[in-house]
Amino acid sequence: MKLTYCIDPASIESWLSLAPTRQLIETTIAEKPLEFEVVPMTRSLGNVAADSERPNDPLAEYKARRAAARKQFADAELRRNCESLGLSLEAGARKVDGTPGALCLLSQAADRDSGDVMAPFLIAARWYELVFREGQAPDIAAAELMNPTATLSDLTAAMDNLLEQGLFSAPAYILHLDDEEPERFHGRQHLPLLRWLIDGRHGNPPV
Amino acid sequence: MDLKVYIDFKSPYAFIAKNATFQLEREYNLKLDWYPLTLNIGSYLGTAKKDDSGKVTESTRSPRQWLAVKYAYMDARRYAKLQGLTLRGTQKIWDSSLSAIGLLWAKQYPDGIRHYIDMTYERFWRRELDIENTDVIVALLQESGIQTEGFLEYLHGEGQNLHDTLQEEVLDLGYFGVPTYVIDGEAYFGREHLPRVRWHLEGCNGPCPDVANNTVLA
Repeated sequence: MKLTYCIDPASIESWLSLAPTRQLIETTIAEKPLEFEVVPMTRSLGNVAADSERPNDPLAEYKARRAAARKQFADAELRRNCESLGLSLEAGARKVDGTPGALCLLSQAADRDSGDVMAPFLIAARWYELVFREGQAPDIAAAELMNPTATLSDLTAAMDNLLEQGLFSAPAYILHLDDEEPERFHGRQHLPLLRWLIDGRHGNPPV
Repeated sequence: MDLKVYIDFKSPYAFIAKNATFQLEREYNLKLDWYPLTLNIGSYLGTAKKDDSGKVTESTRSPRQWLAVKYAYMDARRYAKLQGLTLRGTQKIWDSSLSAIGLLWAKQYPDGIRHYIDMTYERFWRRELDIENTDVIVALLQESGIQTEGFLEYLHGEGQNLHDTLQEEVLDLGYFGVPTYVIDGEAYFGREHLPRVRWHLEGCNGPCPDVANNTVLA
């Protein structure tokens, strides 16, 4: 059984997934073998609605109003997420370059034989605290965490690999149960179903 | 406490949310207040048509949009399967406004609206319901125990006007997708927010919970 867990070092949505995912993995490996990896994702699909923009579009006004409605919801969700993390809105809304954090995670993954198996979670948690709560510059935060050995080429290759596996946003999971095809899950809202699958499908599933 | 639920029968995500949503009625002894939010899917996900073999015959979708749509259907299908529901991919973008006006009509009949919603969803997603056919909608209303005298007049008059006005209003209110749950002045898009809806229904005690698809159907 293998779980691939993808996080975006630039996103507090990924930060919110960290603790419950760590708990899922820790409680699982206490009972059964589980191979897992924590992989950074610094790309996303972006705004796919933009692909439908056309010149002289008769739906231009509708699309603009829909985009405004989406933003209204996104702002409310940001507020809720910041409250959960005890962050100011300003801190949570920070635009961060996640690349240094991603390189730290890739470097740690390449050095898996040393240290705590939960090291990627510790690194990620500390990264988010430094960058979002303490407002540190990403490269300085990364330098405090470790001396990353991974390169930008490594990161590009890792991102290409994730896209080939059908992952395009974070947090995301690939669960590969024994004798089954791998399944992709985008978003931490799937954690209850991941737990149910990993635990052996007992009882009614969470939907 | 008032809980408004906005749906569109042609949305796979609204479909797989219906049972968890109805369970709130039982758990909290309340009546849900249903509204249609008729999506213009082509405006943000492009359009496509498939033939009976599943081959795409027309498409305005970009590769990114296809990636998003394919994932969405895969995800919705797995949750549908877990509930014993059949979700067959649609072969075109449907006009669901007729079934939406049927929903507005059905709101007058609390004893029949559940059947109307269940059957519209389940048959549509089995590809057994033409939601663009007036006779089909009328028959479904009648099967649901909902009287249809005056419905045709409503469909082409007051109902159409109400539907169209609603679609204008929802955007200004900040509602853009389905299912959307509105409670205590907060709007939540997606069934992953049902823990928060329950938190509201229970009096907002303690911290607001995180998102989760965690409803276990009774």
